[in-house]
Amino acid sequence: MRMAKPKGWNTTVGKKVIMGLTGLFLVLYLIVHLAGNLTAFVPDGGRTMNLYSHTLHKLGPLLWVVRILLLLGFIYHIVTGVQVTLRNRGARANRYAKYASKGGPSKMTPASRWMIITGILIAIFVPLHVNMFSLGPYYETVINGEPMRDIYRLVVERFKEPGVAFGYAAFMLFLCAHLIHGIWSAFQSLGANDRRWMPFLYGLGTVLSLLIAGGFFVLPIYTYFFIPLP
Amino acid sequence: MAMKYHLRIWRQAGPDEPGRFEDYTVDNIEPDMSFLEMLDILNEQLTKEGKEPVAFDSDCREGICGMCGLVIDGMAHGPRRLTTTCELRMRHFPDGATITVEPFRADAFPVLKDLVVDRSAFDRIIAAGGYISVNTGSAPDANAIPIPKPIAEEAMDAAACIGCGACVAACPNASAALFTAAKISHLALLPQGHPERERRVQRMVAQMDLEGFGNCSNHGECEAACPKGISILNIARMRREFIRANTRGSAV
Ligand code: HEM
Ligand code: FES
Repeated sequence: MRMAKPKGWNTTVGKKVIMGLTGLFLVLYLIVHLAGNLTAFVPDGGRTMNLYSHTLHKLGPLLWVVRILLLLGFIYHIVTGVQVTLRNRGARANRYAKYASKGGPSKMTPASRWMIITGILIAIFVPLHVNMFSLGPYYETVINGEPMRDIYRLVVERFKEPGVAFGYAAFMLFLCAHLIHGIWSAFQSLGANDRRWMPFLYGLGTVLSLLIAGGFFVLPIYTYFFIPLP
Repeated sequence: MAMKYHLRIWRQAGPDEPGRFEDYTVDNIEPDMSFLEMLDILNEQLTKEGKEPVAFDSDCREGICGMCGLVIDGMAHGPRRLTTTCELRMRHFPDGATITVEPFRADAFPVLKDLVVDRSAFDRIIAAGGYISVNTGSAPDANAIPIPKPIAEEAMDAAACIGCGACVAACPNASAALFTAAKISHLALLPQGHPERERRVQRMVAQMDLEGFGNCSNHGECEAACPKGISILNIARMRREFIRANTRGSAV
């Protein structure tokens, strides 16, 4: 059988460039999203968080542009991730009876081996998450004489349910694993790596994933234990 | 001091035959023997018993040709880093150990017989673009083109690749990214390689994919297994070359 010659972004190298670009785009979004969520820690009964959310929604069409880009990036990342994984599984039909790492400079970890698993878990989490909050019940409040959505109330209410708080936190462990390999790997996939940068990028990947996933992890737990219902 | 080993060796009569493990015992092995010499002794023993000897590849037996290559206890070229199978000594295995020996496994490296695999996929990747075109005739003056020492060193590090295929064997995805990247890198770093650089990366990557190797997930197992210690930073360089070629819309 003669296969068509793979070209450009359809090659194995091209697909990894796509994984890296879409992955870093999603990471960038997570950082912004986390910064927003941290307003929940301000002990003012949700004033700051609701104002933040309200300002964000006032962006109107621009917000929709970002949402659509995010959705496309997410889908493109998933589709390419599945394609990449299927090809990898298919490249060695006869498995080794014994397989071991020599360690040394290897970057292989359970996190790097389970990208598709942690990825699929994230793909399950995201729609549930959007459904629970963005598409959840619309409580209203009035701040500075302006009526707006009381998203803070919804968040605290949900995180008072132990199943939600601890379930959410558990998913953040999978996110952490995905990012621990994902962040440095994305730079490597984009060719943005050399002898001087390697240790820095690897360290940055680890620190950023702990900070990002850690931030999302702490919020529901802290809310469950320490934030009173408004 | 003579040592004794129990071997579990993959036997396969031909490319389309089913394979299986067979158990053997070898005795009187000297610690300074290489892994291949140990297999030679096994083969003498099998021949005397009127059995089919185990087929395996080797040539130089001094770590430079890239012909040898076995997966020993799950590791390409065995447990020692920066060592080819032919350089691996039996003193690294405790007396009485059971050692599992398998061929390099990848769909792009079909097993020909027992432990011998067909690595001609590598030759086709090289043929696709791993060269520079020069006019025949009188050789150009040595040192006519000055090359900074650090760059020459980096090119030499990439050129140390002996094409053994351990990177593919060790990669969880059976990817040939390190091999292809090393071959692209040692030319891309030097001025002589620049005129054809876009065409080269496009063609070599396309050929690598046609051969059925997996994607590179940046696990880095290839570098750990490489007997020449070739760095995955060469894979980053291949990707830069690739992005450069694909954003300049060059002819393939
Ligand atoms: C918050 C969402 C996500 C973020 C921030 C994210 C981030 C990343 C990053 C930065 C990489 C490294 C890319 C590279 O190596 O070049 C990556 C790889 C990967 N992602 Fe995601 N990802 C997310 C969601 C998902 C989802 C939903 C899937 C579902 C299938 C997925 C599957 C994968 C796979 C399979 C890889 C590894 C590809 C390989 O083996 O080379 N990711 N991700
Ligand atoms: S036989 Fe030549 S490298 Fe091992």
